[in-house]
Amino acid sequence: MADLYTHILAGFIIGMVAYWRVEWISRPMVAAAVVGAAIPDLNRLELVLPAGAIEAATGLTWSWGIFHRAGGVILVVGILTMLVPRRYMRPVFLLLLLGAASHFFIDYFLWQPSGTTNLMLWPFADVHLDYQGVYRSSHRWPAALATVLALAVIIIDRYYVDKPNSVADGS
Amino acid sequence: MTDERLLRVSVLMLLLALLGGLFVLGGTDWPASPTVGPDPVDVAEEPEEFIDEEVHLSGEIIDAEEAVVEVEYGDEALGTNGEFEVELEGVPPEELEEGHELTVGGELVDEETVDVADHPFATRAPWERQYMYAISLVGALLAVGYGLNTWRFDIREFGVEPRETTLLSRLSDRGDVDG
Repeated sequence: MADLYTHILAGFIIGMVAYWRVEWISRPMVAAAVVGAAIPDLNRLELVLPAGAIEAATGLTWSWGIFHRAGGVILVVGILTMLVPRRYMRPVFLLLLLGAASHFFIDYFLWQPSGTTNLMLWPFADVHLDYQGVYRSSHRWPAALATVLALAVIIIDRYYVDKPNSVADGS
Repeated sequence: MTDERLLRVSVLMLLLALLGGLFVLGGTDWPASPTVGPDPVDVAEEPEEFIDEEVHLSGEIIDAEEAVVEVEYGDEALGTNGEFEVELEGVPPEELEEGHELTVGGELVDEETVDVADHPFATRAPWERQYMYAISLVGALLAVGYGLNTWRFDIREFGVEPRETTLLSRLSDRGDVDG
């Protein structure tokens, strides 16, 4: 993971662009892209409730890491989609997926000691690319860059985009 | 319960069950391990099995001159945790600072030595890790705040729906009226 802040802003930026460009994506749907971008980092539940503790208590092998893999993401996207009214299901589903995809895309550029990318498509495909990424989650510039871009999006939205904000007009 | 709601709850239960199953599969490394390379626990317990193989390690630099790194591994709750020391070959000592964290790939030469020449390695100061956690917490709060600002829980429908007006704009409207 890059830091979660960078991922969240990336989700916001992508969600806003989708809202500007696609007629049936209304403003509140941007939140789905933001939440989608955060899904893979649910693997940090490990810090709250370590998998080892679950294993010790229940005898079941356990890994929170699957949140950061395609299989876990798709299930969480499905679960969240089931919680919204029917008319919002399509945009919510797509924006959750788009947000999560942006998370994976950004993480493909992470520096790894293995010199290959993580197996993000688990359990569907064993794909990893042999190349070295350019940053680590503790680097500061991705967050700085994301902040600048997000502010630009907020300004563009405020002064240059003419699309109603309310739910009633969209979807 | 309407048919649609019944269908929705059924699908929800199915997806939750699948997710639960996936947690277990992920822990079992089936159909394959979700991570690249050998598990540090295995390397620590049976290093002889991994000689001449590539391993990835992360740990604290405890001796910069001799390039010694202390690797913590395993799981405390399971009692499989511990630490072992490895000496790195092929790292310029001037790049190492005691107390910093080092992450590296390399070949295990013998049970206590890793050859990291021609392999990527990176170090970071303890504060960089703390920065990462702090900024990520900010990110988590932003995501939750953004969601709550634009969506609300609808207990009766057992779900969420978009707000007609955002929480923030409602607060600022009230401010205008009062002011």
